[in-house]
Amino acid sequence: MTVLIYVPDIPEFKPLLEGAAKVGGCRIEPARAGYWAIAAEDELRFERRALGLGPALWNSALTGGFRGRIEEYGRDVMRIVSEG
Amino acid sequence: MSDNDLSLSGVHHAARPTWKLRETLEFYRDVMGLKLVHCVSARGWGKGYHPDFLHFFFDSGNGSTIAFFYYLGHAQPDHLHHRAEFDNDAHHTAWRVETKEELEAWRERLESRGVEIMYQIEHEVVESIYFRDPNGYYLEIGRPLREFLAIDCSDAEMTLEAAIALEDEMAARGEQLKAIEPVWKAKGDLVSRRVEAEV
Repeated sequence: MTVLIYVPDIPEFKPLLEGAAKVGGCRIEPARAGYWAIAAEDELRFERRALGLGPALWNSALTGGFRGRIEEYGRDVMRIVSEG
Repeated sequence: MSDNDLSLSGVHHAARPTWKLRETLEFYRDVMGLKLVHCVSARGWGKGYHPDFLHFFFDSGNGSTIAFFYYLGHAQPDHLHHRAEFDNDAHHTAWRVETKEELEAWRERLESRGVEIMYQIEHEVVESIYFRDPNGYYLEIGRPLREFLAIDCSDAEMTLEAAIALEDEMAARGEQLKAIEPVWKAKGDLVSRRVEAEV
């Protein structure tokens, strides 16, 4: 099942989308109903520094909601996997 | 006028108790430079115990004021000591300025008068400086980074809808919602339905 992070289409979340596009390993789905989606088939894995996010944005990065299971979400690494 | 047409037109005053009369006057009037615009001095009245008091107001712009009550001969009760902790600091006043230049000028003014600026943070919708008044109350001056959009409103509704539904479900099982992750997951379902409905 697809792993997915919804990202509200508001300016302060642009760095999250840009960071995810830059580091790869995911696809970015354009905004529908006000939400972008960062998606992958089995796993999304991001590092805060590689995304270029400060702590405020990193710690609210999932505020738009997600689908999957959080395996890890520490100070620097986030890993969300498919629920199968 | 139907009650659907009702709205508020801003803040007239926000009031808190002060336990330091001279320091409060000197901080807001002299350090911050806010004009003292009104002071009620009265004997305690009404039902029950009420000490004599001073109730004074400082101009905080656009017709708004920040006001204080000072109770004569009334010792500060323990539960009204402001602790510098997140839950106490949640109760704070955030004033608005319009530009980065104004924000920097406030920072310089306050620092030049000995006020410690604890943080300057650019967070979601506002860039702010934070400091404390003589009672330790948390104060903020911020410049909006953007206006609120339609998506902010609908997103806020969904976030709280997800949180409240989860709290209710968990309470029915005798559990308590203690982390944000389940809220994000429940919200993911709400957003997913909304996105699919648009296709």
